[in-house]
Amino acid sequence: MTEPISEFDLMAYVDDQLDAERRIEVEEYLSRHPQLAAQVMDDLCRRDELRLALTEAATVAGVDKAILPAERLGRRLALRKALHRSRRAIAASLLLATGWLAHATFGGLGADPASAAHILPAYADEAVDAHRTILVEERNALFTRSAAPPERIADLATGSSPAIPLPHLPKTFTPVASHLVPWDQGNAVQVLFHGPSGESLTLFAAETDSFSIDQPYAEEVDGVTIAYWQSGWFAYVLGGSGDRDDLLTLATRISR
Amino acid sequence: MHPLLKDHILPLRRYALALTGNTDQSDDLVQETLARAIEGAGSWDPRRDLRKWLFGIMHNTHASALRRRALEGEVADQIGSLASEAVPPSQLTQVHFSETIASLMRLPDDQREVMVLIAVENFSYKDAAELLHIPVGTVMSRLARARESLRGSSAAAPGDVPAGNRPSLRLVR
Repeated sequence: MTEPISEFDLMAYVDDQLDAERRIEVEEYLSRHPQLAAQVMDDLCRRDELRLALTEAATVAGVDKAILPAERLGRRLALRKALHRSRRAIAASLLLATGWLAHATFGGLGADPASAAHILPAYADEAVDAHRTILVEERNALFTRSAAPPERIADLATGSSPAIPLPHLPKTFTPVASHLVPWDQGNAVQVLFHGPSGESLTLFAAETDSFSIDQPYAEEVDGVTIAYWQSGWFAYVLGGSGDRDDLLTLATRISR
Repeated sequence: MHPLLKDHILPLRRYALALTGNTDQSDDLVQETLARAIEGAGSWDPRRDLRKWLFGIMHNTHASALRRRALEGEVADQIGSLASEAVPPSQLTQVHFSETIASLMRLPDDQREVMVLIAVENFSYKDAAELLHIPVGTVMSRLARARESLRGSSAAAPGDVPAGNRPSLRLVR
């Protein structure tokens, strides 16, 4: 025997929340209770009216100020979707590769997929290239010292306010030159510093298309030691030639 | 309009209109909701339902605006404005709302919200409960009360059924 029809079923019938089987049971029940059926019809009717009336009101309402922000949000979300897909794909292929390698080498023991799954973000890659370029330029005296303070360059990078906020390096680091560097998502700022013992250090700062708070992470890429982190919409990379841990300590200090 | 968003803007505007009862405020609410969504885009999990996520942001945005306004109101009361005892013109006069919308707007906020999410936007009871941060039972009891009021508002509806003839109520509060 089927469960008796309750007020909940009638409500869920109006709201289209029942599976097909229960819907048929409700309809059979209503055919035997014309008064209730009329009430359900009435609720359905009111529901349709409400939909139409609200839709009409929302459609005629004012100038559409939502178009631009919706476009911007759409792009962000699309990027997030793409990122999600590629991260999964990359993580999966890394896991496969690590697993295979570990299996081949150690007979399946000792694989550490977590450490293998750290993927260098695109901005860190760009920062490494920019770091190498400016060092070549410096060695060959190809650039003039920039008179503009780094903050001014940061303003130019986004072309609007707010500019890219630059973290403050300790006073022992002297800014030597600031540049705009083109990268995938617009312009980045690159500042070349000379450290206490004359070593060259670059700070790369860029606006990104995704919001994230990531702690600094250091690694060596193509002979350049970098420490990179993201703070909200902005990504930062310190590049140098020194010790990885030292750079990470400095990055952690200035990223706060 | 961006393909990911194009089907969601009209529903968001409908919901904003039902929440605020005022076209200017509903435009602002849509704008603020989108701004917050842009800010929080990094927290959106692409496996999650985008529509539900957006409606949840709108609900929270509206709730915090109400709290803010309540606080401002309290401050104004404390200052003790004696300026006007006139009743402010109804927000509803800003739009030529049909009687249908007018009766919706007469519902208490919590019932109206549930009514729109379910009857107009077709959210499941469970999704509506999640995005409003309330139990499913509460959603259903608010919905039942909202329906009751709407039936009453269109006097002597043909389908009126004396309470005694209905199956027993099994809703949980």
